[in-house]
Amino acid sequence: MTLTFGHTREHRAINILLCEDNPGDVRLIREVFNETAARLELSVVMDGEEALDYFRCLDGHGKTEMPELIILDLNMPKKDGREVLREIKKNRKLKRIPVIVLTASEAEWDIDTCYELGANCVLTKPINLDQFADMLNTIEKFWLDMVKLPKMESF
Amino acid sequence: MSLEAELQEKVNFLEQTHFANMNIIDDLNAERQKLENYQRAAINILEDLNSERRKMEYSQRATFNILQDYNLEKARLNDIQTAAINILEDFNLGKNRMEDAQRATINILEDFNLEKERAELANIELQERTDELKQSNAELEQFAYVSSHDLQEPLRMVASYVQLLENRYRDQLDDDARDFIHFASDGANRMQIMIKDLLQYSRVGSRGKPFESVDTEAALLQALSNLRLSINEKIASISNDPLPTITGDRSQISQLFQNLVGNAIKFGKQGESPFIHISVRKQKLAWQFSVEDKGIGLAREYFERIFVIFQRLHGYDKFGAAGGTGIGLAICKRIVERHGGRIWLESEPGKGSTFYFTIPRAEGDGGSRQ
Ligand SMILES: Nc1ncnc2c1ncn2[C@@H]1O[C@H](COP(=O)(O)OP(=O)(O)O)[C@@H](O)[C@H]1O
Ligand SMILES: [Mg+2]
Ligand SMILES: [Mg+2]
Repeated sequence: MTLTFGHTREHRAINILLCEDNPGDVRLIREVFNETAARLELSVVMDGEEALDYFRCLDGHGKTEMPELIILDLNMPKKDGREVLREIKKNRKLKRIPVIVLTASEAEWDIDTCYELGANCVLTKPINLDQFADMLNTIEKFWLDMVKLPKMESF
Repeated sequence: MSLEAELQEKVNFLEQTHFANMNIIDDLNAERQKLENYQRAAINILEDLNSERRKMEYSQRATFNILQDYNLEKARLNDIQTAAINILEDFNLGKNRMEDAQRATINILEDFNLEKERAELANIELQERTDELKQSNAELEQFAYVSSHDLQEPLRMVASYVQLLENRYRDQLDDDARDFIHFASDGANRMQIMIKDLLQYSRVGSRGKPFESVDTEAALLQALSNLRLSINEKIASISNDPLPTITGDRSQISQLFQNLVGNAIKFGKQGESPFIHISVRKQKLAWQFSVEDKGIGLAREYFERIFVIFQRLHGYDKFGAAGGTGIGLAICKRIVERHGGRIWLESEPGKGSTFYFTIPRAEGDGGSRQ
């Protein structure tokens, strides 16, 4: 990931919010991202309620930063990914942040619900580590290098 | 005496006798008259008598008539009485009949009520069974969800970290350690495939679509297109009869063909390209399909077992990574049964197998396109 075509992003880290309850997954994601790029700032919340708290802190002068991309695990304790997604897409400012839904399930009703709630894409976590790493690398390449993300205004 | 005198005398005599005679005649006449009078009187008396008799007869007859009339009246009265009795009897009969009819009606109503109650009970039972079925379907779906989701996450952890271990410490590991890691990740992979298969199996019932008109030839083509990799790899030749349009679940019929043809390809003889033929027979109530191969076949003792979930006749390694988990035929059975049909096979080791299944013919199903 050395070619960034003069994109401004190479100068500052991208802020990604990872909502994931499984520390194993958090660590795996960190491991993969660390191996490939140091240009992203990963904030982690471990359940749905914590995610909503995070957004609430944005709304004032909390120390949390506005994420430019959200990676959301669907299956979380307390409030699950669907509820977090619903809250995000209901909020005038938050709704512009692209949300990548990661799910362990291929159950199609999960997938349909996510798109109905406004997910930008839904991905299933592959069991194979190499495939998982490939997927994360592709996320990084696509969402951070190719996609024009909306300009983040602070609250 | 002169003649004259004599004559006179004679005339006198004659006259006298004549007078006498006349008298006698007169007397006689008088006598006759008297007699006649007597006679008339007698006749009168007789006539009177007759009239008396007649009168008596009349009165007798009248009495008789009266008596007769009386008898007649009596008879009539009797008749009327009898009639009345009859009417009453009829009425009673009618009443009885009505009562019978009423009783019968009541019985019928009671029977009807009983039937209704029974039907209601049956309905309730049916509803309960439906609810139970729905419940068990929902549970199955829940199970599928749990298995696809919650079980896969820890499984992914095992597989991923074993692999990370291998990736990062490869150089520090000896051959044994690498073998162990291989078995661990292989097991995790297989388990994941089995979980996916279970999910698919549970979805036959819970995710089945409503029946529609299905062109089975198109369904077969779809299946063959999904199998094209292994068809090309094994250089399989596949032929089919003209196949009919049936009533069923399009994607499930396609899956049925895919599993059966997939097996026919997979269980072909080593080093031979498989020959597979799909045919159909129109029966009175159903279509009987068959998928025939010239592959390795199997012994009769396994005919039932292979339809049980995760039952296979070969080791995991023998038919490679594409070997499958042994769920294919279990899914076939579930699909066929959901359609109200039956699945079975004929086979001989070394000679090949023919798998048969029936799908009931619905009204309006088109004929085969011959
Ligand atoms: N056409 C066939 N010829 C010989 N054996 C077969 C055939 N189809 C199925 N079998 C046997 O039945 C078993 C179960 O089949 P299936 O349920 O499709 O599972 P899988 O294909 O995953 O092994 C197979 O493992 C195989 O031993
Ligand atoms: Mg989770
Ligand atoms: Mg099979």
